[in-house]
Amino acid sequence: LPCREKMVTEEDKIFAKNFKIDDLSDVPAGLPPHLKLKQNRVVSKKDASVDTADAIYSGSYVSSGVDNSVKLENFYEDFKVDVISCTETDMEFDMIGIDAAFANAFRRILIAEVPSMAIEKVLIAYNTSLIVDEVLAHRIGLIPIAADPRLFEYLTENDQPNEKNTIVFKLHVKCPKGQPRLQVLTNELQWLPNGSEFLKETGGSTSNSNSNSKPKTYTSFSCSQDSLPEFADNPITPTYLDILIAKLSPGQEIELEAHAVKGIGKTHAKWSPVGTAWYRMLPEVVLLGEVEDEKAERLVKVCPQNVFDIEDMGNGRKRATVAQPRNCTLCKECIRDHDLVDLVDLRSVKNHFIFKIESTGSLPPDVIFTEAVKILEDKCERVIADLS
Amino acid sequence: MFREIEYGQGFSLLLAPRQPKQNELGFKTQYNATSSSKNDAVTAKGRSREMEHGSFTNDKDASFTLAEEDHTLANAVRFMLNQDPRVTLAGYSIPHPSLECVNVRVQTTGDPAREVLKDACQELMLMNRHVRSVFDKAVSEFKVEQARLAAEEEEKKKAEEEEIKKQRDLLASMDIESD
Repeated sequence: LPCREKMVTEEDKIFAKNFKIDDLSDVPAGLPPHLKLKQNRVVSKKDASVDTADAIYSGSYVSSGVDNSVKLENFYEDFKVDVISCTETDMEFDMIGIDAAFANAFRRILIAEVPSMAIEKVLIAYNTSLIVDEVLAHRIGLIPIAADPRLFEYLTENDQPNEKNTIVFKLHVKCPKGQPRLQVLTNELQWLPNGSEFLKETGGSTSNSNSNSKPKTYTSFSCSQDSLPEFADNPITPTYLDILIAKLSPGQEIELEAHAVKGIGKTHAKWSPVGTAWYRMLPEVVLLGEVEDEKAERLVKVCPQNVFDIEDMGNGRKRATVAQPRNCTLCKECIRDHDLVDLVDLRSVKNHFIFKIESTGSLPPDVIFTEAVKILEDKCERVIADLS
Repeated sequence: MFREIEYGQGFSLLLAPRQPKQNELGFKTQYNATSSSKNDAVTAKGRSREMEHGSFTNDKDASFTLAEEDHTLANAVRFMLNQDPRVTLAGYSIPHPSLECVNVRVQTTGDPAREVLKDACQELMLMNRHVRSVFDKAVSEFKVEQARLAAEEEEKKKAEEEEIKKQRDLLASMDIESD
């Protein structure tokens, strides 16, 4: 082999040492666009969705020099919440910059682990209606109660039911003879701020002369709940006063007492504070090519959510545009036809979630969400405490 | 060198991983001794709330069993673990849906797995706090905006009503004049 005559100079050595290929102007930085798409969009194709798994492990794209981790500082900067609507019962808001693991955790906690008050024990004194005792008790348990659960404590097995952990309601309805059939609605449930009125049977004559004390009832309220500042002016009622509990024919009567306690949805769905809570990812509809004239008309007609719109291009020609991508439900009607399937791309943004929370009335929906986040924090704290 | 951890009644049979035979794997998997702090962490049913299955010598790879947890926390913790560059493997599994417990596996590049898991939980807590503060701010701003819009609507309505009243008065006065 002929040997090379060229001498390596000092300048060459320094140049070689300091040379970084990424500094050249035409070397692309970050991920190539097709990988970026994979990283943060779920594409819904005709048969199935693609790229649904989050490849979010910090070293996913290490060979491209891109750090894929979600660092805390970046999270602080990128995370945003947009409230779309917020009423007493419903709420819709967007969370941007968060991962599906969190969104799902919040949803699960909203449904199953945020506490609320619901009727647990029903003491039935008299029931001659057509609704059997246990069915009546089941129905009464499902009635949503407008009481803030944060003001109450849990009632455990060892506790006595008292004003801090129980709410007592009374229902005494009789359909008089000669009247038409009577509907028992939730407005008949009266709140008893002084506790239970049904007397407990004592053991008999073995009770000594402590009988001058108050007769024992099924709850031991030391003070009236009326006297507490939160309930002084607004009595506790069911959220909706027109829910049908039972129907009574003439001569039938129901007399019962219902005790409500605090619980979580995991134990029984009656304690779930939300009617339901769900999220979806923000849909992104992209037209990959020009959709003109006849195809545009078809596209606009086919979408049931009016996502597309027609735009005039001049010369009498029309073009389809994406007008309201947020309304898209990913029904994929627009990609059913073989000539439209290559022109429309249906994507979901992986870190943009549209949450909807429907509350049953015990707490306003924004408070329920804040409680849910607090509960997730508590779980983490418990795990940290157990690990150390 | 093997030491059984007290799991509680009826728990050990279902949850204790099969003891590997020495020939099968070529090394012994040893259980960590339970420290007193772990015995304090007891669930309502009297079972210990957290267990670590690792090795005495090498603490960078370990499996943790968290009782009374499910996908809610486990998926979030797994996500946070994956963000940590010290972690080579992170995953969770739920051995049986009727048992309320989660197994979290953490393998790191040298740091003790327990510390890495703790750091992940810590970051998770900070992220939650941030979520809460941002959400609260967004809701209060929204409500302020709503109140402002409602006030504007009220003013507009009042202005319209006054206009109508003025016109009516004008007409009435015109009628009187014509009479």
